[in-house]
Amino acid sequence: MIPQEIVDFIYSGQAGAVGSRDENMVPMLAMCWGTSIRDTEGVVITYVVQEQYEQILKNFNNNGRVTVTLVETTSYRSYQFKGQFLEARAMTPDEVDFQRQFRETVVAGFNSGGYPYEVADRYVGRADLAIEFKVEEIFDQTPGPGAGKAVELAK
Amino acid sequence: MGITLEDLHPAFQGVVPSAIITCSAEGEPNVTVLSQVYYVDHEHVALSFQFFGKTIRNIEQNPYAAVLVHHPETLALYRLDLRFEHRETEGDIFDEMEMQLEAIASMTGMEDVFKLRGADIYEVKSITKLDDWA
Repeated sequence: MIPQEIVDFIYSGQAGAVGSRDENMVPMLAMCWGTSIRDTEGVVITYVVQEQYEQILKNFNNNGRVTVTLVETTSYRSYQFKGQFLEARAMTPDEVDFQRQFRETVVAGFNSGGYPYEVADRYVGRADLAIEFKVEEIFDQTPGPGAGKAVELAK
Repeated sequence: MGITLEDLHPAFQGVVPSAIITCSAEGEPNVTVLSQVYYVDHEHVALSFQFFGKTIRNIEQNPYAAVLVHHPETLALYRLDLRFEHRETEGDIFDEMEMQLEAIASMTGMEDVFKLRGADIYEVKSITKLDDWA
């Protein structure tokens, strides 16, 4: 089970980056725009713009290793989720609604931080693909001497 | 004409945090937050080495990395595919990065956290724009 404080962090509207690697161990990453969980199964679902994921999806299908790091840009608080790829699929109507609300929250955040609405609205991706993976480990990546420390998963 | 590092100069001010991915020799990718990407010349950037974490261990095993950087005004997003070359712990690049890092730390309230241990120099293999707006 994912600890409640991290569940709250996931749902507090943080963008992040999804990583993979190819058969030559060359890593690749792109942004993700909203993340949710099916915690009873330890499954994390992150929402992405498919056209940026051609190579990353190939990598997932070839070796299955997934990493997602979510970052609160104002504080640098961040967590990394590592695990095994399950599937990439179309988003459900509920997920489309969820991602729309995520976008509105993040766009408003950038807007209140001084970015023109049009700039923020263009920046935050309109996700069209859900990537599911089974979480095996979580790490606190907040910058500092303790960065990279494993988070204990609740029983 | 392709995108050049010179086109991305504003993205190297550290206004929006970057992300870096590396990969261990065993094939485990690792993504973490990066406070500073520094322009060195038209083929190289320097990344701040601050903590002895997985990123540093991975780079010692496997020189390939990639970073995401944002243009601070337009928020346009770019991926730089990199290959580690060497580390500098003194000299002009180190000194300038240390000064810039202090400014970033001051802006983000991380004065007690951010401390430069080395300027890691990477060759930029390619630059990809990850969105489709101008």
